[in-house]
Amino acid sequence: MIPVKPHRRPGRTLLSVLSLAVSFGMLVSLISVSQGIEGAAEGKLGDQPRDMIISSQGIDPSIDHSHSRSEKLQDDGNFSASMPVLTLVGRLGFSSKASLSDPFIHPPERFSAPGDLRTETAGLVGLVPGMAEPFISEEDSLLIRNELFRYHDWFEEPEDPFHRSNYTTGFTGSMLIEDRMADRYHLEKGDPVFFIDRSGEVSASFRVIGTFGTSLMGDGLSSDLVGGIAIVHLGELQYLTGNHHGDMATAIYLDLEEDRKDRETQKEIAISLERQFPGLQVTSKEMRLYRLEDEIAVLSVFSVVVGAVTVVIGLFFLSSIMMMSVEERRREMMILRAIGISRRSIFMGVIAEALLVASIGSVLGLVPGFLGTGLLDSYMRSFYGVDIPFTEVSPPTIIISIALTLLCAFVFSIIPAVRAVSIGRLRDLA
Amino acid sequence: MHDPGRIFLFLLKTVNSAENILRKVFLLSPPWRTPFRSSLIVIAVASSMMLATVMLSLGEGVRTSTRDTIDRIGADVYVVPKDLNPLLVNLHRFDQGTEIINALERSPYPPTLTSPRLRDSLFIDPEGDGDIIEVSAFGIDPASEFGFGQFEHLEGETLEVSGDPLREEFILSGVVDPSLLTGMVMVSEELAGGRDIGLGDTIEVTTRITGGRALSCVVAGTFSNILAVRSEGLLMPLGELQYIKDLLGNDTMTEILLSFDDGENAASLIEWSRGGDFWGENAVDLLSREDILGELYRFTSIIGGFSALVITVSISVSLIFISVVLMTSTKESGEVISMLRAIGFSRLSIVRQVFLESMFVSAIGGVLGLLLGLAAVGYLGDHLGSFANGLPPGFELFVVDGSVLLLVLVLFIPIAMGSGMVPALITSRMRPVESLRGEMR
Repeated sequence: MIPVKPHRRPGRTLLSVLSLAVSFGMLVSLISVSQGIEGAAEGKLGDQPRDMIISSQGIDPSIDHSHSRSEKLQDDGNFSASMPVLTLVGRLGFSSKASLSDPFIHPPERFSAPGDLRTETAGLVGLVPGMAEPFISEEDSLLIRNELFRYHDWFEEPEDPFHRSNYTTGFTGSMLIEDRMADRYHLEKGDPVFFIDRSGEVSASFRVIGTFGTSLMGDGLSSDLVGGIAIVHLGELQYLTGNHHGDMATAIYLDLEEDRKDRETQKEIAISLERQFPGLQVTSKEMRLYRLEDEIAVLSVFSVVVGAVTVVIGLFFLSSIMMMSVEERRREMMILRAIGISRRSIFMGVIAEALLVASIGSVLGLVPGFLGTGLLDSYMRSFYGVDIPFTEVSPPTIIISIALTLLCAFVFSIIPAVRAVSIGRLRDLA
Repeated sequence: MHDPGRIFLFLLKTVNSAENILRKVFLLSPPWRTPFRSSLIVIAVASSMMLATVMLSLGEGVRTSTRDTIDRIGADVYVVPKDLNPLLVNLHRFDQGTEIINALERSPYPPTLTSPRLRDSLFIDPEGDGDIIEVSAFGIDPASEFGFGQFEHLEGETLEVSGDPLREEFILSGVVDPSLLTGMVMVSEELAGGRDIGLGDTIEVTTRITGGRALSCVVAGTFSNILAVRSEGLLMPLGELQYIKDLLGNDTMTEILLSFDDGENAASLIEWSRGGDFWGENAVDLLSREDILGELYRFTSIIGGFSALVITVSISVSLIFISVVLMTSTKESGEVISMLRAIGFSRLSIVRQVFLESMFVSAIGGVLGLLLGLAAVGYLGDHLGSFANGLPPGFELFVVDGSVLLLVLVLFIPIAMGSGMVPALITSRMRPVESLRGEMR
C-alpha cells in the first residue's frame, strides 16, 4: 500500500475533516432526538402496572357507572386491579389571605371569593385512592394519561365517601397538588385551594394534603395550556363538574392477573371488553406501544433521514476532494506504477486516506454531536416546558453511526481510488 | 417569412458574442477549464439553496395557511372560558352564555354578528347494529353560525330553516318545552360518506353509550368543517344540544364568535371587557384574532427552529467544501496570476477578478438550487398532504412567496461572499515570483 499522507495538503484535509465533523455531529444530534423521545415514552409505559385501558374515543368523559363497572371488572377474575379516572381541565383559585377553619363544604355550595383570589387553569384528576394504589409503581409513581405522577404524599381516605353517599355527605376536600404549582402559590399542607365553576364563581374549597411531582416545568408551551395539575377524589370532581349524573369517567385502568398476561389471553380479554363497552376504546399495553411507535415513526424517520442526507453530502464532498487530490497527483501515480507499485497498493492507499479523514471527522464530529444534542435537549425542554429527556445518546448508536459512516466513506472513495489506478497505467507514461 | 440562413447567422453571432463575453468575464480560471470542480461548486451551492428553499417554504406554509384558516372563520373576537388557552377551547366551558351575549350587546361596542357554540360529543349507531360510535357535536345558533366560515354548507338545507325554537322559548320565558325540539341535524361529509348516511335519514343520538338521553334526529343537510379537528361530526341547534346534555338550565357554552363591521370596535370591546364593567368578566376572556394567531404561531415555531438548524448546518458544510475546491483552483491559477502581475495588472484588480469569477459560478448554483427547491416544494406539497391527516382542507404545508425568496437571497449572500472571498484572499497573499518558481519546478 502506498503511504497515506493527508498532511501533504493540511488546509484541505483539515477542511474536509471539519465538513465531515459538522455533518456527523448533525447525524448524532438528530438520532439522539429520535431515540430520546422513543425511550422516554416507552420507558413510561413499560414500567407501569397498567396493562389495559378502557377509554372514551373523544376527550369527554363517556364511561358511565364508572365506580361499579370498575369494581365489577376487578371481580371477574381477569384483573388484579382496576381504577376509574376522570381527567379534565378546570380552574383553581388561590388566596394568601383566606384561612378557613373548616375548608370542607357539606355539600359544596357557593360562597364569596376572597379579595386577592388568583385563578389559573389546571389539569384536574379524579380517582379513588384505594383503587389507584395497586397502580403505583415501586418508585411511587403513577402513570395517568401519559404523565408520570411521583408522589410525596398520599390521601388519608382510601375510599370515595362522597360518591358512596350518592353525593350528599362525606366530601373530604382533600387535594394533592403538583409541587411547582404549590411553590408558585406558596402553598403548604392545610392551605385552601378553591374550585372555580363555569360561571367564574368559587363553588368549593379543598385543603392541600400533599404534593407530587410531574415533568411540567412551569414554563414553555405546557404552562400556557395548564398552570399545573391537582388530584382529588373522583366523586368530588364528578360532582363539581356535573359528571356525577351517571357516575361518568374518562377511563378505566386495568392491571391483568399474572396468569392472564400472555399475548393470546390479552387479545381475548380485549375482544370481550370491546363487547362489554361498545363505543369505547380498549387498548392493551402492547397496542399502546405499537401506536406510540407509529406516532413517533414519522419524527424518527425524518430525523434519521435528514441526518443521513447531511452525512452523505459530507461524504460526497470528501469523495470529490479525494478525486481532486488524485488528479493533482497524476505524475506521482504514474511514477509509483513505473517503479513497480501494484494497482492494488495504489487503490488501497487512496481508500485508506479517505477512511482516515472520515474516521477523524467522525470522531471529531462527536464534539458538535454531543454539543448539538445538549442544545437540542435544552431547547426542546424550554420550548415545551416539560422536564423529560428529549435526547438520548447511547454508545451502541454512536458505534453504529461511525461504522456506517466509514462504510459509506469506503463506498464513496472507490471512485477516486479507481481513478487513481487508471491514471497510473504504465502506457500513460509513454 | 424570415430567412433561415439569416437566423442561423444571427444565432451564430449571438453564441460567439456570449462566448466572447464569457471569455472576458472569466479571465483567470474559466469554469470550462476545470469542469469537474466547477460542477462541484455549482452542486454545493445548489444543494444548500434547495434545502433552504424547502425548509423556509415549510415554515412559511404553516404560517400563512394557519392565518388563512383563521381568516376564513371570519371572527374578529373569540369569547372563551376564563384563563383557558384558546387552543384548549373544547376542554372547558362557561355558563350563562346568553347573559354574556346580552352584556356584550349592551356594551358601547356591540358586535355586528354573534355566534354562540357548544362543543360536546354524542353517540350514534349509524348502522343500527349495535356498533356505536362517538361523534363530535356542535351546538350552533342556526341564525348566525353560517355568517361565519368554519362550517361550509354542502348539501340539503342548513338549520336556519328550522331554527332553534326550544332555546328561543327558554330565553324568552325560562320554560323548557321539549315539544319545541326540531330534531334536525346536519352531518359532516365524512360522517355522511363514511357511514352511508343520506339526507332525510333518521339517526338516534344519545348522550351516553348505555342509558342517557336520546333524541331522534333527521338529517337536513351536510357540511364540511374547515378545521376538521375531528372529521365525524354533526351540527344541531344549540338549545337542543344543551337540552339533551342537561346544560340548558345553566346555558353552558364553549365559545362565542363575534364579528364587527368596524374592526376598531373589536379592539375597543376587548379593552372595555377588561375594565370592570363587563358582567361576564369572571367567567370568560375576550381574545382577538391576533391573540389566537399568536398562540398558534407559538405552537408551530418549533418548525422554524428546526429549519434554522438544518439550513445552518447545510450552509456551513457547503461553505467549507466550496472553500476547499476554490483554494485548490486558485493555487493552480498561480502562473496566470503571476503573468498578469508581471505585465502590470494591479493586485486589487486581480483580487476583484477572482472574486467576481467565483461569485458568478456561485450564482449559477444559486439559481439552479432555487429552481430545484421550487420543484421539490411542488412535489412535497402534492405528496405530503396525504400523510398530514387532520390538517384543515386547503392547508398548504409549503408556500413560496416573496418573503421566502428574499430569505433565500439573504442566505445566498454568505455562500456567494464566502466562495468569492476565499480565493480572493489567497490571491491577495500570493507572491508572483514564488508562483512562477513553483511552476518552473
